Amino acid sequence: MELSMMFFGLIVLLVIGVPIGYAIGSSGLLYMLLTNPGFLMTFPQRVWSGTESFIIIAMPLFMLTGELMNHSGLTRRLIDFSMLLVRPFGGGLGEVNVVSSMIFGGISGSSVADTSALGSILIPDMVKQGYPKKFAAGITVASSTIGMIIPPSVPMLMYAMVSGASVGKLFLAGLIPGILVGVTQLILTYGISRKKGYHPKKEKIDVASVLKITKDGSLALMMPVLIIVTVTFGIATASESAGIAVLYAAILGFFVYRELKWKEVGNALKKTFMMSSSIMIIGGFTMIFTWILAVEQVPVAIGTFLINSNIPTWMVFLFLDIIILLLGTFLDVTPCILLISPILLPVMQQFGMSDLQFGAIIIVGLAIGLVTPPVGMCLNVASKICNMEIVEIFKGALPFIICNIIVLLLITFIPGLSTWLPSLMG
Amino acid sequence: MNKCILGIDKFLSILGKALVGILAVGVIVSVILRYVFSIAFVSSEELLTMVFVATTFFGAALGLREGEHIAVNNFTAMMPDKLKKLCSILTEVFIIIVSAVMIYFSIRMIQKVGSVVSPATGIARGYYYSLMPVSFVITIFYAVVNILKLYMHIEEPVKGYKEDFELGMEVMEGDA
Repeated sequence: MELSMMFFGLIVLLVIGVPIGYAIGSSGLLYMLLTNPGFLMTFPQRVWSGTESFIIIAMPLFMLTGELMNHSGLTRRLIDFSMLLVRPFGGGLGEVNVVSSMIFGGISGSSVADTSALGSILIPDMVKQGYPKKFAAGITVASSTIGMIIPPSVPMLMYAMVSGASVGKLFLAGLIPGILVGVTQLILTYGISRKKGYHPKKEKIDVASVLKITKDGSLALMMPVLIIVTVTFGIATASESAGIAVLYAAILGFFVYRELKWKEVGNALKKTFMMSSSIMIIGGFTMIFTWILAVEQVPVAIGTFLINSNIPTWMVFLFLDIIILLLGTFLDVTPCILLISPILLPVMQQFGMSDLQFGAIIIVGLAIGLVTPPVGMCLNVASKICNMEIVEIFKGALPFIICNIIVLLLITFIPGLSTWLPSLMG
Repeated sequence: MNKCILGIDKFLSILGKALVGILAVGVIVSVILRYVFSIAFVSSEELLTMVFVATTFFGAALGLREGEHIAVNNFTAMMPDKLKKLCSILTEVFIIIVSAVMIYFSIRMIQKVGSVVSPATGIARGYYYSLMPVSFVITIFYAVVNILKLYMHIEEPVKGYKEDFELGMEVMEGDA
């Protein structure tokens, strides 16, 4: 009864627009008042425990890295480098969009940052080159979903916080799914562009330009390699690796690209401060929610119900995908991870799914939610950039989102796609 | 009144920048000391974690003023103005209630276990926990400001940064 009241309260508060962290806090408060007001003594303690983590320091530092790189003129250089990569295959800006997202994802760890940074340059450029605006915006938002799948990934850090899974192993678990989404989208983009004649004529490019673009692009590409290698091989913790990434970004911005200004560093710090706290306060209040779920043994009850119902495992897994996709359409990624992981991960573990596979599934599934209305953060950003209705952008993105759904199904039913690489770590 | 609010905004902005800056520099320095000079400070991890906790609580308070909190706004966006206003007030009231609970019980927590000393730094945990009552007092202040804003003129906060898409945005001309 108290639990039902808590969930009902949570839904009402979310509907009236209470920020998610405070909505969770208020509904948790309601539960404690109804069951045992003595529990209230633990209220601040649980919130505190949700924010006190050395590993999660990596989150603001990865955000800061992305901000510094963005202010360093990295985006344009990355696009030029991607252009060079797709050139031998006769690709155009559509393919560049996908390749840039794959590389950018390895730097920012965020899909929304990907849409913002790449979309603001690529959508206007694509329109100028004759691509329909709907296609340009669609491929931009769809490819930006790769940003949070390819490591480093900010949502993965949050999942590591609630699940206790190893950050290094989680990063590796996302690598193959991220590349798969990229490659399938790339093939589709190539097919559509070729059929509709979007590919531009090859222009000559001198050797000096090729060398300069390659140098600039390779330096940026070093960033994700550095992070993945240091974290996965245990050379550094996620936080230390993020610190190294900040230093690398600052050196590139100040001394190599020479476009970073001190004033912009201040702005990047402020933006990181706001973004990180808006996520972490949800993380703090979610600990109350997680504790209540454990006290009430909700995951065990759901698991027992499913096992007793004799529902085949494949159907349970399919339900998991559907639940993630549905929740992703109206909840933002991080709150969704924080809310559903404590409930569904123990349930899925009863059906033999590992925490790494669950992590990969939830990340790939929720990334799709970023580009589906009504709550799609990437759609909102793209809508501001190109002044289009989000539904129109969604229609443009739909063929590419199907690639994401195919990959989601593959990683759901072929565990090796997410668990093989981490297993090599031992 | 406006001057006072903007002053607090500015103070928190500077504090936030300083905290994130300390966090970044602190991690970088400890990495260099550890890997290059083989020097490790046991206390640095704890202190950096506390800086991070401070960014969370103070940032959440300022986030209320700057409208940076993550919320589901699709339903309220469809509501008529009067209902929207009512929801805005209710939202702030719930934030005030949760913050008040946080303040009251975090003070009780400090009274009870605040004198326990951290083994790594020797600092009493109560100093760390005091971040909670202080930051949630500011949260209540901003929640009240947000309610007042519905009835009187209060200056908009100065965020001081641009969104990513504004950095490289070009004017789109024509629609193919």
